[in-house]
Amino acid sequence: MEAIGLWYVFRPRSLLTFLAGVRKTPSFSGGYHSHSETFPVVSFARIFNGAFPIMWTQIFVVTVFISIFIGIILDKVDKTLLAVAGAVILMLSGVLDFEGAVHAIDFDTIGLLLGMMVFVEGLTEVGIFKWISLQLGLITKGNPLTIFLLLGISTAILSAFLDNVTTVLILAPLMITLTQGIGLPPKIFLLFVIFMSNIGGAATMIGDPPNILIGSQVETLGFLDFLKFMTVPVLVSMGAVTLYLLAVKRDLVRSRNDQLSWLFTSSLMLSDIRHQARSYYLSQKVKIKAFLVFSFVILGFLLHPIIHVEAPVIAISGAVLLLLSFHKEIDLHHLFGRVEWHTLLFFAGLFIVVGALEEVGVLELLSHLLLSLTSDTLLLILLILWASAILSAIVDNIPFVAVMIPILKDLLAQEPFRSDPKSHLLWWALALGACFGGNGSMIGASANVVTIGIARAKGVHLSFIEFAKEALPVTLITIVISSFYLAILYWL
Amino acid sequence: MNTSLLTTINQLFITLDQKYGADALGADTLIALIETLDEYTGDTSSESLQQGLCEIYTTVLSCKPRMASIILDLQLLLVDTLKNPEFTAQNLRHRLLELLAIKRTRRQESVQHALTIISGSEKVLLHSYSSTINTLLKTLNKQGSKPEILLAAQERAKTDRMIQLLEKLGYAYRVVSEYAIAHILQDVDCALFGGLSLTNKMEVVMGPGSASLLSQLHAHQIKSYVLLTTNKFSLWDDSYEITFHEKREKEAHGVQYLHETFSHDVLSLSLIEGLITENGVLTQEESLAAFSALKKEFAEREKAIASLQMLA
Repeated sequence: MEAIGLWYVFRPRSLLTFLAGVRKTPSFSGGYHSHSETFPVVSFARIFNGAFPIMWTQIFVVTVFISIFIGIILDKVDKTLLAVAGAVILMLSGVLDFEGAVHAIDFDTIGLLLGMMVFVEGLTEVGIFKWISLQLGLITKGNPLTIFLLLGISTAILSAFLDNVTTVLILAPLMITLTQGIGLPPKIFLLFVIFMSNIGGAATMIGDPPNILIGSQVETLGFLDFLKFMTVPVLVSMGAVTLYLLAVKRDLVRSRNDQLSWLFTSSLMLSDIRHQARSYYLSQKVKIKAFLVFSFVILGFLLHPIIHVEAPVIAISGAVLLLLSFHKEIDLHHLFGRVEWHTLLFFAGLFIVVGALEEVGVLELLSHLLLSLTSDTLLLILLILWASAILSAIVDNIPFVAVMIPILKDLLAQEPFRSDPKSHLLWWALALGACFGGNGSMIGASANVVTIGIARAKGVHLSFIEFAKEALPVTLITIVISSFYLAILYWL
Repeated sequence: MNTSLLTTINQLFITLDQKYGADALGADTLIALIETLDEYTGDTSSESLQQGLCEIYTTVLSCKPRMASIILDLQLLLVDTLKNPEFTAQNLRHRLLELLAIKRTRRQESVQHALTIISGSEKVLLHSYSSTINTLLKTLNKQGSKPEILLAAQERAKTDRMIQLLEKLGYAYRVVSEYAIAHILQDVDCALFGGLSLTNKMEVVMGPGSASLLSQLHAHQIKSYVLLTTNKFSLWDDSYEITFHEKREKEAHGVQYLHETFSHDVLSLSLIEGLITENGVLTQEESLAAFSALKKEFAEREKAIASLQMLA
């Protein structure tokens, strides 16, 4: 049946019939509206004197997208440059005009990302994260089990509210200092930080870029929905991964308090942290102010159903409030220099390419293809979950999620999914798969790459195989948990 | 003790010494030993504790560079366990607190002697960051007789910490790169350095960069002193490698090269005016005499604990 369905979708006549239909373009606010204006593909065709069939345009846009994807995997050229180059090619070729390209950019996502980036950089400049990391270091008392659990859980909690890269930038160096300081190999401890950052990041709408994308582009989902649907699988996965690693690596994390020489080493290591903590003075006023602004932002996200203020507006307001509160302490030029503008550009470029894919009907074709594969909601949920996880482990999950969002939107607008009250679980399948799948390989998520880089700079080398050996069981555990969770939600 | 822990302890010693100075390292080690006893959940019999201490002592002896004051403290501790075979963890803890107090008193005494040396100096050159120099600056501040400080800037973190302290205490100061110090030598009344150790060849072990500074000061007949309490004397016989030598791969304009770094400078005692110890300011001859006397005591203790090491 599936083979017939596939053939039906791709047979030339279906394509022509389909392409003759109504097209959709993204609106400025991230929504989509139908229109019957002159299709931008016409200008592309015009270049080729009208001798260019629509299917070739689709092939051209898909080729651009796949080239970007391959370019990201090969990692020879910066991914931002690739995305922007792709967008430029699509505009030059006339697939999208400049206005259409601007319309394709989802400014909700860009705004939310920008607001959170400035907010987090502001808190970093104030010194709050350095202070937290020193305090965490002291609390561990050099005990391997405490180091493992405290830093792992702190990573998950911080990742839920900060982006994962910031979290690992704060905690990975501390993890290396603590473990090396007590003479333990830091690799598994670092991997735990990576796993927890990807798992914890899945908990909230602002924790991980896939969630930011989904939360910003799907009008029906908000901060509270993420908490409602993601907290359980995140907590269960955290617990399961922790128990699994504790069981497998029990020798590494066991207490050594019965060995004088080992205790001496860990106490000596803490001396350094104690010195740093003593000389690193952060006034109570600064801590309280930072805590209040942070609470304001989180409260703003939580109260969205009541106050109806958009997530990007809350993030930007939080950033502005923080900058105003600490205008004496924060060097604005330095702070804005540290904001990841290239990531924002990457998103913008990607949105344009995905916009073009949608414009020429490729995404609609893909949604039809998915529909032809199965009309069983649960099966589709599991398919999306596992496919997202596998793809996220292999390639950057951001382009994948960016493409999947319009496909799922289209799919959810069709029967039988439109009338299925459980079809919204597809979004959580996508979010869980994309976030947890990031643990699957060394290049699965930005946090992985950054942590490996930090480790390398400190003389700790983690190979691709070493990473995969530990990461695959962890990813499998979390995806199996997610599968059960989604199935239970479906059946309930 | 396994080699991994030896490497770790060695690295921690070097880090703590370079970041906070030899005095802080000595105190940190004693505090770490106290904490070790507090957290220890293993066998607390005298034999077991003695064996654990021997293991730590052997490791500390194997570290490069050897940290004299730590070796001395551990030696004293082990000799005590020999004198009192029925000792408990509590006794050890008590003794460690005593050693910590002795260390502080020594530092205070050497600071007092340093005060007499610099009294009347309007401009004092400082280089090393050490807790003794810190104490000296704080004491001078309390006395209200603050000279202008000419700070020879060394490694960024240490210089930053010194500036932070000088700012906090309200000193007038100038910061000059250590390699450009020749330009301000005419302004220097006297110079103070923190020291790590004194070897049996009567060479002072100091922070990197000190050798060239002291040579210039010596050539210009500017009086330089090194703050070094006698517990930091390296009282062993052998020509043990005192500095830690590292080669790191670096890159410049696409060219890979090895960059060699040394943890400390070693220079002749004859280049300095005197060692400021807890017993006063010692000349070269006086230093040699003090060294010989202490070395004798050290050798006796070493002999006494040799049997313990065999057991361990």
